[in-house]
This record gives sequence, structure tokens and C-alpha cells, in this order.
Amino acid sequence: MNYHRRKVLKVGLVSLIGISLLNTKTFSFFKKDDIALKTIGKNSYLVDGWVISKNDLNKREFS
Amino acid sequence: MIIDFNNDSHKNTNEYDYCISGAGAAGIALALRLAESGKRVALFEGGDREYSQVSQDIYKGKVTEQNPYWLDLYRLRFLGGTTNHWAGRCRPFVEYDFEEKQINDLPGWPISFEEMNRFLPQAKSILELEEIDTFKIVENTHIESEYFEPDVSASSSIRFRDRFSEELERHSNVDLYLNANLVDIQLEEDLSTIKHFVIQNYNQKKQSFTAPHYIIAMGAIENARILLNCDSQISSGIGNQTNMVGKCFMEHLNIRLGEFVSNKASWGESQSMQFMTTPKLAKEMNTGLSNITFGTVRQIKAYGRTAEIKALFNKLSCQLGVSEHLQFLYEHDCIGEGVISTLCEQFPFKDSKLALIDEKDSFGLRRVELDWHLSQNDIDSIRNMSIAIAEEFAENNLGRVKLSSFITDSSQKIEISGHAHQMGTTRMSASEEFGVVDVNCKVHQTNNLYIAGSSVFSTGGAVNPTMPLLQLTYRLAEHLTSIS
Repeated sequence: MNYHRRKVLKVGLVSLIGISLLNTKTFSFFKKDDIALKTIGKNSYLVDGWVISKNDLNKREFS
Repeated sequence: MIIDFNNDSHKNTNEYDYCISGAGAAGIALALRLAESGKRVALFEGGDREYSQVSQDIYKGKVTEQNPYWLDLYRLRFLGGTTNHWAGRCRPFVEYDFEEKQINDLPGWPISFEEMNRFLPQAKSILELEEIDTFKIVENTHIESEYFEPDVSASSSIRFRDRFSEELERHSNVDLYLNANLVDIQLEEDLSTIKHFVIQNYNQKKQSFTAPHYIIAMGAIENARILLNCDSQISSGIGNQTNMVGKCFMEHLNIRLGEFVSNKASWGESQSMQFMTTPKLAKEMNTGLSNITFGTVRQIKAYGRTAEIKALFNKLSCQLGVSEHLQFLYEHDCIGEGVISTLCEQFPFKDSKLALIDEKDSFGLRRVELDWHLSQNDIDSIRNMSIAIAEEFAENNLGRVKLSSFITDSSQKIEISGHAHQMGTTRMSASEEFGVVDVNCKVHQTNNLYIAGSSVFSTGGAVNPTMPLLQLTYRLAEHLTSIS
């Protein structure tokens, strides 16, 4: 039992630290939801140098 | 008759109706047309029948650090001129080129599109392109854009030296002098009428040639250089009282706009697509016109200096089977599937200019320094056009474009190179305030000196210059025969 309790505590502690670090943005690069989108033309956007259209924004991969 | 000026002296040097300096496309076309009308023509070519370093070195000059350029490499200085190595792409100007506009405080063309078009059949004829009805070959009907249209230019295989040497040799009205360099233009006392051309060979022999009319057709750099060098009677040079000789040097801008990936469903089996931007785009986005090529890696590998390296990789991969990695490198050396290159219009701009320097050529003429300069209008034009093209590319689902960082980041300098299309240094303008030649290609402030070639272009458009310069040459021939 002691072994399992220690393991649960260890995993819990590591998870807590991990969540805390993510919340303080230390490891924010793990998060996929902050793609920089810049308006560049009338109906277009710039994503990492690529020019995409308004229609592209309706697709899952860019939303 | 063809005369080697290095060996023969010509005794009777005042028997001609016209003296033309420069036997490239414009000079040869003009000489033959004038000779057809029964007039006697002296045609002077600074080079020989073949390339020689001593002649080519005359083109050497300096270039400011603004943008790199190679004055002595792009053009060829021997009989036939640069047609000896041109790719032959031909297209006339479009109507929009001649619409009234004021850019960088300079007016556009003082002649109409219709006037220019009157001479298209003659230009097509000498280039053996009579069968071409349209220069817009629309193959890719799936593209529906108001901003650009698919385009394929016609191509001429004519090398003027090879095509016309025999005709020049046997024509009784033309004397073609080889190794005959124009080193001075002397004026009468009125300082407006040309008295004679001073022609020099490579053995220091000089001779003066006299005629009622004189034409320089030596290319955009050399036309301006000789006018500036002829300062013994007018300190600023001939035709330069308003300080416009050498100003407004223009090129067709070759810019690597970025890379692209294509949508195979739209693209089909095409290895490249070439587009002309439309006047609608130019008007709405304040851009010049442009010819844009999307070339896939497969096509690109056939060109440029990387071709040899790629061929070596390919050979190693195929023959030795040594590595899949080599094959991978061979096929994928760009981001995406290809690169975008351009032939963009550069607007006339006084700060883009030639000026004489102290260094002299072997004839004692001062060389030039080129300060090839983009205006803010050019920079805005390039950025606006690039974004519009990339946007249309995405909206038409042709693929997606990744723009170069110097396009999207206005703090970066736009990287440009030229197409060896030198234009505008003796531009045409109704007023001498804004140009060097008048609507008839006659140098303002002179009575009998004319200029043929792309140096008279008021604006450069986005088409290869040979077809339009030949149209203007035939227009000049018509004018000259009408007044004499």
C-alpha cells in the first residue's frame, strides 16, 4: 500500500507542477492554440509567412 | 557592303544620308528600312563580327552599393548586339502602358497606344512572328481572376547578326563598318545641328562622317554615356541642358517573391504558370504591371547555375544508387514545390541614374557609374502586388504562397536583380523638362540627332523590350523618310 500511495502522490505532485508551469506560460509552446494570424490583404491573412484566404479560416486546420 | 574599319579607310565620308551608330536590333532594322527607301546609310558597329574582350570591356563601369548590377555582362558589344544571346521572348506593350499617368512627378508616354500599334506588323515581320495573332494564350481556363491572367509570350529565334549579315553585305545602300566606334559628336556653331560623327578604330585611327541625319542606337547605357561625354562644346553634354540624360534608368525587376505549394487539381500537369497582372490590379492597388512566373522545382532545375549540381546529384543517385538522401535533396531543395519569379515594372525615377566617373575607356571616354534606385512607389507596388497575387492564388485554390520576409516585413530591403533590360536613360517626353527625346525620338535642343532603342522608353511596362523598341524604330524610320 505504501508503494502505491507514494506513487499516486508522486504522479499527483508532478502533474500539479506541470499544470502550474503551463498556467504561468513557462511551457506555453506546448499549446497549439496560439497561431499568429495577421490580416494582410482585403480577404487574406498571414500565417508564418503563408498567405491564406478567408475561406481557409473556415477549415478545421486553421480554426 | 561590310567594311572592317580596322583595316580600310573610307575616303568619301560625306556621301551618306544617315549615320547610325550601333548595329544591334534597332540599328540594323533602321538601316535596312532606310536603305529600302533608296537612301544611303552608314552603319557603325563598335565590335566585330564575333565577341572580343577588347570591345566588351568598353561596357565596364561602376555600380553603387544600392543594388548589384553587372554593366559589362548583360549586353553584348558586337554585330547583332545582345540578340546574340537573347532568349527571344517578345510581347508588345498593352494599352494601359499608354494611359495618362504621373508617377514620381514624371509624365508617361507622349504618344498613344494606337500610334505604337501601327508599327506592330513591321516589328513582328522582322522577328518572324507574323503568324502570332495574340500574345495572350489562355490555356488555364479554370482561373477566374480580375487581377491576373494566364500569359505566354511569343518567342523569336532571330539572331540579328546571323539573319542579316548577308543582306547587309550585298545591300548597295548600306555600308556597315565594323570595329568603328563613335567617340565624339561634333556640333555646328549653332550648337543645335550635328556636324559629324567621329569614328575611331582599335588602332587609334579616327575619321569624321557627315550626313544630314544622325542616329545613336547603342543601348540604354551607351546612348546616355556618349551624350554626356560629348562636352567639348556644351559643358553638360549634348541634349542635357535640363539634366535629364542618364536619369530614370529602369529595369524589369526580378524579385523572388516567395515559394508556393500548388493544388494539383487546379494545376494539372503544368510545370509552370506565367501570369500578367491586369490594369485593374494596377489601378486598385497602385502597382505597376508585372509578369509573374510560378515555376515548379522540376522546371527550375533546368535553369541556372544549380542545374549542374542538381544534374550531378541526379547522376549519382540514378547510376550508383548510393543514397535515397541524394534523391531527396535533388527533388526537394525549396520550401514547397517551387519559386515565384517576376518581371515587374519599375517606375521612372530621377534618382535611378547614370553619371560619368573619372575612369576612362580605351578611347578616352569617361565610364559611368550606375545608381540603380527604387522609388517608394516601386516598393509599395511590389509589396501590394505580391500580397494581391498570393491572395488571389489562395482564393482561386491554385495553391498557397509563402511570401519572402522582405515582402511582409516593411523594415527589410527588397532584394532585386535585373533582366538585362536597360531602359529609360534618354526618355521620350513632349517637354524637355522631363525627357531627352521628343515624340519623334529627336534629341531636344538638336535639329538632326535621333535615338533608337529602349533608352527612349518613357515607362518600361512589364514586357520584354525588343518588340516595343523595334516598333519605335520603324516609327522613327517613317519619320526620317518623311522629312528628307
